Order: sequence, then C-alpha cells, then structure tokens
Amino acid sequence: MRALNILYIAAGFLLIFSSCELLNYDGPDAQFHGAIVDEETGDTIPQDIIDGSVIDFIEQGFKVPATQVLIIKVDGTFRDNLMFSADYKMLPARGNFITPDTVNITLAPGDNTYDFQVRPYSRIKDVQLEIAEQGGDNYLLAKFKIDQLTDDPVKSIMLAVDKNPNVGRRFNEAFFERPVGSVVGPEEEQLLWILLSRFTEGDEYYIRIGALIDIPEAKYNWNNAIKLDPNTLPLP
Amino acid sequence: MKIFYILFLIVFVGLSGCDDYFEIEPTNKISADALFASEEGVEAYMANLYYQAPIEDFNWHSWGLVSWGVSTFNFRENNAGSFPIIMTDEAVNSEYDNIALDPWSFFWWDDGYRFNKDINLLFDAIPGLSLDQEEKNKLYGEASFFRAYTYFELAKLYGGVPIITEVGDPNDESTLYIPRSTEKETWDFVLASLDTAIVYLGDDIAVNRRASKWVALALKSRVALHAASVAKYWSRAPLSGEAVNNELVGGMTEEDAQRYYEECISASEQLINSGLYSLYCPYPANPDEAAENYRQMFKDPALAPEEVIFIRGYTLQEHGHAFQLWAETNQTKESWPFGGRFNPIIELVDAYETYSDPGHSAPVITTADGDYYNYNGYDPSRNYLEFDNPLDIFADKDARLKASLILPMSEWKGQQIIIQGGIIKTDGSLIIEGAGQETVDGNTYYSFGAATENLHSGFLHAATHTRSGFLVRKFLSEDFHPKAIWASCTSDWIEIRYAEVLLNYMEAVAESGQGDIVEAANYLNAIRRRAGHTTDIALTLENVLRERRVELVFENKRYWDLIRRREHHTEFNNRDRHALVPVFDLRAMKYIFVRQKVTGSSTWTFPEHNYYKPIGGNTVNRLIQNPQY
Repeated sequence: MRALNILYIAAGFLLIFSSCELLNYDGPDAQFHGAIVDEETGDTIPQDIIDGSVIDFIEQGFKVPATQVLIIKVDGTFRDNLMFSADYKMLPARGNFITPDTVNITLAPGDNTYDFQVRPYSRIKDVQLEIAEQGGDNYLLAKFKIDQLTDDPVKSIMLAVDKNPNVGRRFNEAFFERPVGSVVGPEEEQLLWILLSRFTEGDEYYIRIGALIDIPEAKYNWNNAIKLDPNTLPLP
Repeated sequence: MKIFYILFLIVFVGLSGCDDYFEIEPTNKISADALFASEEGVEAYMANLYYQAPIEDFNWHSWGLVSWGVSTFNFRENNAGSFPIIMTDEAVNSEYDNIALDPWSFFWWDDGYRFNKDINLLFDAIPGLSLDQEEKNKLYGEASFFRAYTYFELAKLYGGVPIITEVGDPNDESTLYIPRSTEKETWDFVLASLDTAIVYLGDDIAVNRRASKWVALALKSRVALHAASVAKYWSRAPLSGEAVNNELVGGMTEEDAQRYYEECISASEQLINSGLYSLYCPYPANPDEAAENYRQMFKDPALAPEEVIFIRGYTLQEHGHAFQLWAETNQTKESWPFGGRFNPIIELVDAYETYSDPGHSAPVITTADGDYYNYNGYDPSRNYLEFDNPLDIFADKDARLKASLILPMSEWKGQQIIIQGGIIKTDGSLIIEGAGQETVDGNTYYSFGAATENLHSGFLHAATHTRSGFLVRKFLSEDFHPKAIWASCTSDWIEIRYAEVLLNYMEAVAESGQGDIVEAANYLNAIRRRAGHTTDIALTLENVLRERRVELVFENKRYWDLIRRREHHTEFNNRDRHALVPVFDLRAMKYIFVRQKVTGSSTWTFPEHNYYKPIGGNTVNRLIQNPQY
C-alpha cells in the first residue's frame, strides 16, 4: 500500500511539473577592464578610492534603462569581471578630467579591454620631499608644481598620508588641505607640510599630493603614491 | 482514504456556487463613504492626517524605511537615539556616530505618497460632505495645508517630484505613471498650496494644535526661505546627470531666489504685522532669568501661547516620544538603562557669544596662548588656564548656553552633574578618559570625578556617559522619571514659533536686500534682548546665521539650514568633531580644560549628491533617479 502511495505521489509530481522549463537569465559572461589615460602623456590618471572618478554605464535594450557605476581604481585602471555581453553607453564622469563624449561599447563574451583617452584637469609634477624644522617642530615638507590644463582656478591643494598606498582625500591617517583660489603657473612652487610627530617610527607610509580644480563635481588630481623610505627620510 | 475523497467533494461542491463571495464589504473596516458621512468620522480622519503629517518632531529620526524597515516619522519604538541633531555640527551620539553616512536616511518616499493619497481622498470627499459651506472651506484649507506640508518635505528630500493631486485609477495608466515636475515647479506648488490654505483657513490664534491662517503663513515663511536658499546656493554644490538636465533638481535662477525671498518676507510680514504674536518673556532682568524663561518654554510650550505658533502635543504614555529617555544624564536616569546619548560638541559651545563681546562667537579659551584650534590633546608644555569651578570658563556666555546644555558640574534635578575626563597626579602624570585615582591629604580624587560609574556622567566610553563634555538640557523636564516604556515622554513639541519667523525674515532681508532692514535689525536685537543681551548689533548675514544657530539649537532646524544653504559638504569635509575635557590638576587643586577629538568618533565627509536623497522604487515607477544613486 505504502509503495503504491509513493507511486501515486511521484506520478502526481511528474504530471504537475512536466510542463515546467527552467526559467533563468544567463549569468555574467564578460570581463571588462582598461584605464583612464592622459591623452597627451599616455599615463594612467591616479584617482581617489573613496568618492573618486567613475564610469557611468547604461546597458542598452531595457525599457527603463538604469545607470550603473564602475569605480576606477587608485592607479587609474578599472576592472569588472562580472559584466554581461551587450551594447553599452559608457561615460567616464564626475572625475578629475574633462568629461569626454559618451562612447558606445559592445562587450563580447569573454575578455574586453578599453582605454578612455581623456584630458586631466591638472598634473602634479616635480615632487620633492624633505624634512624642515620650524619653531622647534620637525615637518615633512613637500614641494611640487602644478600643470593646469584648464583656465579654472585651483580650489585647494592637499597632502595625504597613510600606511596604505590607496591614500587619498578621504582615506588617510593625516592630511593637510590648503585653499588656493587662483590659477597657478606651471613653474610656481607649491608647499604643503605635515608634522613629523604624526608618523610612528618604524612604520611604512605612503604619501600623495593632489590639486583640486574649481569645476563642478571635480575630483582631486593626484600624483602616484610615494613610499616614504625610512632610510633616506629619517623619521623621528 | 475514502474520507479524503468525500471531503474534497464536499469542499468542491460547497464552493462552486460562490461567485460574489469576495465582493462583500469587510465588516472590520469603515468605508470612505460611511466615514465621511458623519462629523465625527471627519474629525477622526483629520486626526489621522495630523498624525501622519511630516512634522519633524521628537519622533522624527534619521534611520528611514530602507535602513531599518521603519518609518522616518512617528516612530515610537527604540530608534537607537538617531535624532537629527547628531547629523549636524550640534552634537555627536555617544553610541552610534556613523548614522549620517547612510544616504537613505530620512527616507520618506513611500510614506509620503501614501499620506498624499489620504489627502487626495479628503479633497475628493469634501464637496459631498453634509457640512455648511464655512466648515467645508475650512476643511479645504486644511487639506491644502497638509498638501503643502507633504510636498515641502518631499521637495526638501528629493527636489522635483511627481505632483499627484488626484487619486489614481488602477485601470488608467496615465493616472499612475506621473513624471517628476521640475524642482522649481515643485516649490511653486508648495507655495501655491499654502496660498490656498491661507485663504480658506480660519484665523483663530488660540488654535495652535491645528492649522490656521497663521500657521500656514508661518510655514510659508519657512518654505519660501528654503526654496530661496536652494535657488541661490545650488551652485555651491552643483550636480550633473539626467535629473539635472531635466531641471528635476536645481535649474533655478537668481531671479527665482529673489522671488522666493520676497515671498518669505511678505508672509513673515503679514504674520508679524498682525500683532497677534510676540516673544515669550522679552525683557528678563538678568541672564539667569533669561536662561530659566527660555528653558521653561521648551519644557512646557503651553506657557508661551504668544510665541508658539504650531504645536504637536503628546498626552498618553507609549504614544509620546523618547527624547528624554535618550537624553537623561547617567546620574539621573534612575533604573532606565539608556541615556546620555546626545553629546553637544565644543564647536557649538564656541558659537555662543559672551555678553562682554556681543556680535562675535566666543570660542572657549583653555590655554594662555589662546590657540583654541589646537585639538592635539594634553600637552604639558602648554600653559593651561586654571579654574576653581569648571563653570567659570563659561561664566560670561549667552544665557541660552546653560539653558540648552548641561555643562560640566552644572546642576540638574537637584544634583551636580559630574562630567570630568581625568586628573593630573601630583607627580605630573596624566590620566585622561581612563580610570585612575590618587589620595592627597586623606582625600581621594578620581579621574572621572567620582568613585563609581553611577555617580558621574562623563568620559567613561560607555554610551550612557557623554564623550564631548556636554549633555542636552533643552526640552528636558525635571519632573520626568524614566520608566521602562518607550515613548513615555509627553512634553510637547514646538513645530513653529514666532522667533523662527523673525529669523526667517531677517535672513531673507540680509540675503536679498529686500524688506525693511531697520525692522529686521530690531527683530534680531529683540531675540537677543530676550536672551539677556543689552547691546544692539547690526543686521549682517553672519550675525543672523549665528543667532539662528544658537536660538534654534536642537530644534531640528540646523540639518536643513546646512542643506538649504549648501554648507553641509564644506562644514563636513574630512571633519572631526571635538570635545572639551575637564581635567582636575592635583598639583594646583584646580580644573583645566583640554580640547580634543571626541574619542571613538569618526571623520565625516558629506558627499555632495546627498543634498538630494535617492528616489524609492524607481525601476517600477519609471521616474528619473536623482544624481549618483
């Protein structure tokens, strides 16, 4: 009797589910990577890890298209290994470069690469670090110059320090931000400093120097993080 | 086995005849027609609308629907003390200080439109009600007032929103998918709704718990100032994207700003010139009297009908609020386990003027070098100012400071509230924000000022003890004894008061150059005189804004001031918030004060796109989302 019951139930299930087919979308099948590249120098453009430049992208073919965001890494490269192969409109936006035109990109299944050629708002150059003494306190002094690529004033300059190389505007152990408020010449020397007592002896630190141009939604233009070498730069 | 077949057959046959079974009226609900058929029904409906209205009172908290699955308004359970004052430069929360970083905070999309539907149902019902025309007009005015309140809240949070003035028809898509209006159209709609309310509402001033012409005028003063500020200062934090291109956020001009300032000025003038309102206790004999008058008004708004324009009242326990449950000092919270959550920061205390130097913020000076910007903690090489009584350091400060804050070692409920952060031992070693003691001449001195943690209220690094050196006094009642019931506080909330209208007027005059600058200066000095000041100061934007910050402190206005003036992202740019730590120096037997970062607090940055909140459900409602969400 029991075996018969099981048979009935099995037959019932078979009958009920026989018309079902697996209803599911395909998983992500494309990888997309590349970099935000300075169109003049060919270098990647360093970014902030928190609130940095992004790539807005819209997958085509939906009735209500939603804008999604790809975050650019500190070194100016980006990678998303879980994209769908489809047509996209992409735009690097709200960044530290002049917003380029929207590009149509078709991602094929598998590996895809694309470099966005853009013009940064400014470049940090000729960075020199030294120890300076002032009023009995020792400071790490940074001298540098700014190449401005637009006519807008420099809003502020900033020096940020952290033990992590992703150091930036909102990712730091210590920072010094100085308002500027004017256009600066390419040979004008800029100064930023930070108390040496903010560092712990024996620890490794990374420092970055940035300039923020006074343009709506602009982000800082940074140099590549400099690793402070305890041997050449004696910390207290 | 057979029984199942029989049962199945009975159920099948039994139900086969039911075709209109699901169409009977539910017996546990009242239909709209029945509700609006009686006067009591209408009253009950109105009471529900007042309950739902987005009044930013003690039960308004920042953890919105998405974060916590609860509503932003009218939340009467444990809200973790997430009152909006901790999202500004007024105070930190001793337990959670990262609440502000959530962009979904203050979420009011679903609830806002649900409320809007209830208002639209009322609009639909009014013509058919069996009331006389005068009563109908009043209801129509009241409905318009609610509509304005709703869209004001939505515009503050989201910018331009869909303006829905009719109940949607489920069978007609065009009534369901209504696109967003521009931000400017939304502000204009709020102001127009208020104009309608002003025309139709009654003008009885005694009615301060229900909308009247005067309440609507006062709200209009607030709305117009908000709109004007957004129009004027949008460019301080401009955004980009589809919503911006369609002017759903931003897109207002300098002319719009001037027009809104003018609206603020004219609404405020109408209310002021009516002569019906005045400041409560305008001429105190001395600062102490000023402080007590000011404090009493918030403890019991019923004392000040001349100043209070609109109140939200509470009467029943469990249907009140939890402000004092979260704010009560550790020493006076009795058996209640919480309290001590709101810790005003030293930057707020600095903003209060002194009587000897009117017209300027007076930062608390703790060292001989006067460097109040040094927050690096105790430094033995600096020369600290010494005080016999910790209260002496605040001696000359504006009376509203001690009326709004519990200062270290000040009195509350007949007790001295011990807020001390450390001692310097006789050998010169420092114990700060940690347990320690030393016995000198037979007396034992403890780092926290008392032997056990229930005898003091500060710096223990427990949520019940202040981390900033200050606690909130405003709104608190010495007659209240915490008991284990959430929302058992029943002190009333002043939603709009006359001083705010005066401050709105002054700001609009100072910003736009319109209006009467002499009268505006008189109003500024009247508010200051009520606080014990005797020297008049000039009407400048700086003076007006400082006065606003101090006069309206903790009244949930500061958050919107930072938003509408687009100052939140510059005020909170990698910002730390700071404490004033009283330390007892056993070498001199005197108190010194250390300015330093609030222990355990994080560094805040306000992202610019947070000026507009994310719109809910936009994949379904087909609306254009705000930038960067």
